[in-house]
Amino acid sequence: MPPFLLFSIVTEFSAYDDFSKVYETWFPLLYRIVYRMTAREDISEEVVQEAFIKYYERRDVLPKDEGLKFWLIRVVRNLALNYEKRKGRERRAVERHYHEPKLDLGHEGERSVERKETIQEVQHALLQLPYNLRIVLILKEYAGFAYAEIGKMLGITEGNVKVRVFRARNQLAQLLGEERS
Amino acid sequence: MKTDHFLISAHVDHEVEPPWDQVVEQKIATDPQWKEEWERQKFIHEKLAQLADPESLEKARETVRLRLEALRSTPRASRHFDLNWVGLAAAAAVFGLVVGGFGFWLGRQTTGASVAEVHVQLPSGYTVPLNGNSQLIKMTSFEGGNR
Repeated sequence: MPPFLLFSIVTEFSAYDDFSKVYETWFPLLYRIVYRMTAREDISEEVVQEAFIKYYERRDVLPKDEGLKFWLIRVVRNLALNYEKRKGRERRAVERHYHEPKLDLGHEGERSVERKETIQEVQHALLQLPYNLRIVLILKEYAGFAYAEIGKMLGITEGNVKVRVFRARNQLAQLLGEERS
Repeated sequence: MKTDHFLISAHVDHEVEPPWDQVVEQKIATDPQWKEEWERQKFIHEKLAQLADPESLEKARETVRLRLEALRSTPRASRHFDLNWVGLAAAAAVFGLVVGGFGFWLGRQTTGASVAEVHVQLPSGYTVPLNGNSQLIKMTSFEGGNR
């Protein structure tokens, strides 16, 4: 086997090994973010897959560690936003959510039923939030980022993140109150 | 809503640094409006925490991994091969069209200048001097002048 071919194969394997590590590390976080943004499993899979394809193709020029994390989140955020624009934003997402098959509550106890209702209500209310508020709240609540990090990811100031988190929770409280009533 | 109310949600997220966290805590303890807002923010924070990871996460991780594996088995270059060639062919076609068009135009211009149609009125009874091969005998300007 010619040395250059061997080198190429070794490089490819090593690159894929790196890719696998990145994939295993960041997949759950990215999936969680997109799922909370869209409440759609198929779209979440599609978006995260697209993000990793982009990463694989540009991995040579992308930053490592923290920088990579921010880059991946920016990519999924943009892809999720594109999805939302394409599908007519929140209204359709909410309609789809309502048309989704209801949870099978057959053998659950009352407490569990209540809990599932609550979960559905919260997810539903989350989808009704404007995109700019929703993404900030999701990055805070489900990705556990600090305000400063979220600001860096979204290209806004830390103060702005603070304001958006506050407003998002306030609006959610209103939405949940409406649903309850 | 006052600007400093935004500190309430930051406090719920433990994002207020000392000594301001103490100030916010004191305000929550003494001001009913602040307390109400803090309870609302905390309630939503806790509600959101109830949403656990989607059950589909592990399945999705495996599905996407397999799809990416399949994509990787297609050589990287070949995925862009067709597109590259289409681009190259299109560029070559445009270039050919531009160069060809220019050449055609230039050719027409040049032909018009070099080939001229000359109408000459000859005296009646003039016979064209031909040689044995029916070719026109070239005359000098002097001969032409005499005639």
